[in-house]
Amino acid sequence: MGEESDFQTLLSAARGGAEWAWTAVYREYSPAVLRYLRGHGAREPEDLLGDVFLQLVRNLAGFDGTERDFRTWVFMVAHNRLVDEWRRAGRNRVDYVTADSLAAVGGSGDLEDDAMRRMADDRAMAVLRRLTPAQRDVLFLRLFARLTVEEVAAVVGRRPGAVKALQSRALARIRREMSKNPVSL
Amino acid sequence: MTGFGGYRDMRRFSNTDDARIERLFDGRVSADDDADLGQVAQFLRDLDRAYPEEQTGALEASHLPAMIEAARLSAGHSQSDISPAAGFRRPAFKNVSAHGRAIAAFALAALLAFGGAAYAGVLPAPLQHAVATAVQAVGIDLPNPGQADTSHVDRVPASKEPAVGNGAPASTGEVGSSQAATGTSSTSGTTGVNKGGQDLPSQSEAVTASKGRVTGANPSKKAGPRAKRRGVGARGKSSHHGKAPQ
Repeated sequence: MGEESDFQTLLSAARGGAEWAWTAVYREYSPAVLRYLRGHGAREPEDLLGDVFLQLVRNLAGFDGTERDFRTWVFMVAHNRLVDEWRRAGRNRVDYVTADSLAAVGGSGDLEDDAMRRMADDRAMAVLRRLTPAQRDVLFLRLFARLTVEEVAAVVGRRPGAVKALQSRALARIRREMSKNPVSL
Repeated sequence: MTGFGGYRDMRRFSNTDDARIERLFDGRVSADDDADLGQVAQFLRDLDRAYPEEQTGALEASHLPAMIEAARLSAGHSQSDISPAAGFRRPAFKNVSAHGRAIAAFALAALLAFGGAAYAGVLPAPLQHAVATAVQAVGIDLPNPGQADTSHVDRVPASKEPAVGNGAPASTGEVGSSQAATGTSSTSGTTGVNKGGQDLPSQSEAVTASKGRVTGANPSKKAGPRAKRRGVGARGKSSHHGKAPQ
């Protein structure tokens, strides 16, 4: 309860344009949003991240809700920006899960370990490519944004039942693909 | 393509209870604990590692200033978006109003000063012209020596208006009256004048149309979009046939 009232204080300060409030919001949510954008292979994820937060600033006056609602709303804005980008890309849209979109992970210094990691990453990419865009979206929102099924449903504009079905299909697909090519670290 | 195996897999995950799925996404399932979900858990760990949560400190320096500026602008707008706008409009309104008042005052003074003489049109021509022009600004028509022919044509519809406006729409009345002014037959009149005059909503526009008719500009004019929408052409003809001769 105390945390919620702290959040409402933060929200109120952010509405007034307080620098400390927006710094706190940015630090809290930007890493997860950037991860979500990268996962979807956004072309300029850093720029898109800036767009997302500017949109949040502009629309905050219309937001009213709890901290969970705010988290959902942040990813809703991020999701919408992504959809806009895909629409702009149109037919030139490339398969957005590429090895290049992997975040730069520093090597551990152990060649064997690094090689195994690389294999695991490649396999993960191969499995991701087998999922439909909607399944990937559900997966990223569940895993990276830590949203519940109901919250994911709000973000993607579907019913919770539909999101659950997408999730089940995605997990089933992952299981099958992983069985074909097991790599153990 | 995936056959019944895929369907069975999907059923399996549909039937998996929510708590297990939540544990899976929280990273609390391992292959040892749950053979069924073990491989999926492995994949999610791979994915989690492949896309680690990055620190956004470097981006913060470029994103935050723009955000804070936008936030302050938004906050500023919400506090004062009424007063500046009102402050901006009011002088403009005042100016227009003062201008209008000056014209009205002059027209009233002219009318009071010359009254009946001006109405009768017996003032000296330059004075009559000046007074007529001045009071025209407030909608009063007086004989104006400067507009000899056309003013006559314009005034005819005005005098006919009461007769034509018998329950008919104002624009129809104007059409009829302007046609009467031209003195053309009803058939040729509807082709020429009606097309030009059908979508004329006010008397001043009707005057313009009449002038156009006199100079021969209007007959080539096509019916306006409003007239087309309302189908005034047909109505204009019938009402005209009945009323214009009066």
